[in-house]
Amino acid sequence: MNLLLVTAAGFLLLTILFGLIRVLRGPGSGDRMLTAQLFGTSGVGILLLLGFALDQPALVDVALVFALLAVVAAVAFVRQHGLPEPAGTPMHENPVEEDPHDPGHNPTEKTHDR
Amino acid sequence: MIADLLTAVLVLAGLVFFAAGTLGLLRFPDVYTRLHALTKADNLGLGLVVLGLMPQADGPAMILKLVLIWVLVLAAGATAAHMVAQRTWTHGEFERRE
Amino acid sequence: MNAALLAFDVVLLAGLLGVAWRCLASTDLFRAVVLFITFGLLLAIAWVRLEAPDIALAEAAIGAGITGALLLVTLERLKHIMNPHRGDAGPSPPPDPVASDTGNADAEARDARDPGAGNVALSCAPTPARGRWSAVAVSGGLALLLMATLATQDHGPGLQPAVAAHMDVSGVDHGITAVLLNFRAWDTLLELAMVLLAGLGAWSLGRHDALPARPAPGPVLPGAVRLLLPVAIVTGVYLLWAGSHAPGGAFQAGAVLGAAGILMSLARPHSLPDPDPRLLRIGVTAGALLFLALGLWGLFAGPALLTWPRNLAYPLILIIETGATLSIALTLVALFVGGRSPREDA
Repeated sequence: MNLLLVTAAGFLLLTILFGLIRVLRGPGSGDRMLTAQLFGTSGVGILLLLGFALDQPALVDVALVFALLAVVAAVAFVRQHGLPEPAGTPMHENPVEEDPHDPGHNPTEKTHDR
Repeated sequence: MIADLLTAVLVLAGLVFFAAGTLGLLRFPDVYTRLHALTKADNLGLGLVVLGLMPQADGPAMILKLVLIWVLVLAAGATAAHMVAQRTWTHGEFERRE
Repeated sequence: MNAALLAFDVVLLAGLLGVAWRCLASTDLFRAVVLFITFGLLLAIAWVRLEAPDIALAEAAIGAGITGALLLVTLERLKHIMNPHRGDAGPSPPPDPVASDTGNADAEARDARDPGAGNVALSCAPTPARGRWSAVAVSGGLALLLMATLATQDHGPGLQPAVAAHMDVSGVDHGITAVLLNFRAWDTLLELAMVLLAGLGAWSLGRHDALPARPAPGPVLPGAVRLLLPVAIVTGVYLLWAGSHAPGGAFQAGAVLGAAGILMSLARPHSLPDPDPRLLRIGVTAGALLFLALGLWGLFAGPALLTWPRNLAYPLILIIETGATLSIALTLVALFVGGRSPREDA
């Protein structure tokens, strides 16, 4: 059983290494960021499989931390591109948190922590 | 014995979805289709791996932790995919010059 | 089983070296950052294979939660600094928020017409070929030296038996925590002082500006943050609590809570609401000061400086770890925001 789990972890590691091709080739930054996100999912799988195969329950905690924080880099990636949306962009009708520098900003619509 | 068989079948099924996700990542033509490959196939793959490991867990606390991890990965994957797609749609792919 | 593990380790090592090489050799800074995030993931798995789950936990929290966001936001600021079209925004934290905001709006309008413009300054020229061979020669020599050192080293049991023999006086059930907070408390105190110094250094450089960005529109990000933040806080407290008997402890918990704070500051439209600077200073110094005060108390009431009476060891360690967690988390968020609160100078 443990042999199967370790082999499965090795297989997931190989999928990460193949996925690296997409990081290297791109072409867009969105592709690269998404691939890093995928590596987070595969990494969680590797840690869980190794944790059970080697009987180290602490690895499940490591996987938990990875799963919890996987989204932080993606949020930073989206947040960093502080450009105004081009005209005709499909936008959500009721922005939850308005930017005061937005043209068409209406202070009465502003909603704080709900 | 049955638990071990269940684990083997589910983990192997999960690996199939992980492999499919990576294949899609490499073969699909643009960022939006690749996004599907990642956030759907891989999260399902991880779900099957988590399901497969449950019979090996030594108590309800560990099972709950496994489920929590899967839910967190689902939430993170959905959020990241949505935001990256939105960013690409509104701002373009940027670094095209390679 | 062992053959499978060996194959896993070989693939892992090859992956680590390959990713590190591509990351360093990349001419595109964004690609280098993504490769660095991947490197952090592989490194955490490598720590697991070296049977150091404590370090794997810290690497997971710092690699996944903090360095990635830090590097991506730094990249965006570099764009503002290095792009000649955006020179009017000024390279330093803008002294006058009104002036810099209009400057940014100008540059943003220009960028909307030419989205690729921001990346011109962010790729560097490839290294000349003749430099590569000397680099390969030097790394080869270093690798040989390292192998020679490892080959001649005595692979004894180390200090593990000594630690195991004294676990009953340490107050905790996890060897790493016993070493960090009892047997070698000095080292941990100095590490906390280092974290504090880093925070003070960032504050001494100037005021922090608002992150040069706008929030992602739509309800998805706030919804995800509302789901993730409570889980992150519970996980941080759980890791702090687990430190007494399993891998975990103040540094891991502080890193998870710090990453949660970073996520919060990224998801908000501008930046975190500035807390009272006095409270912030107390929070950032609490860990090191509490540690030092209890250590001095040990000098007078207990056996010696930075040692704990046997029956009080567990509560004292828990108090110190709680203070340290708080300070580490606050310092990491302060480092990410980068600079004093504008309210300090007001």
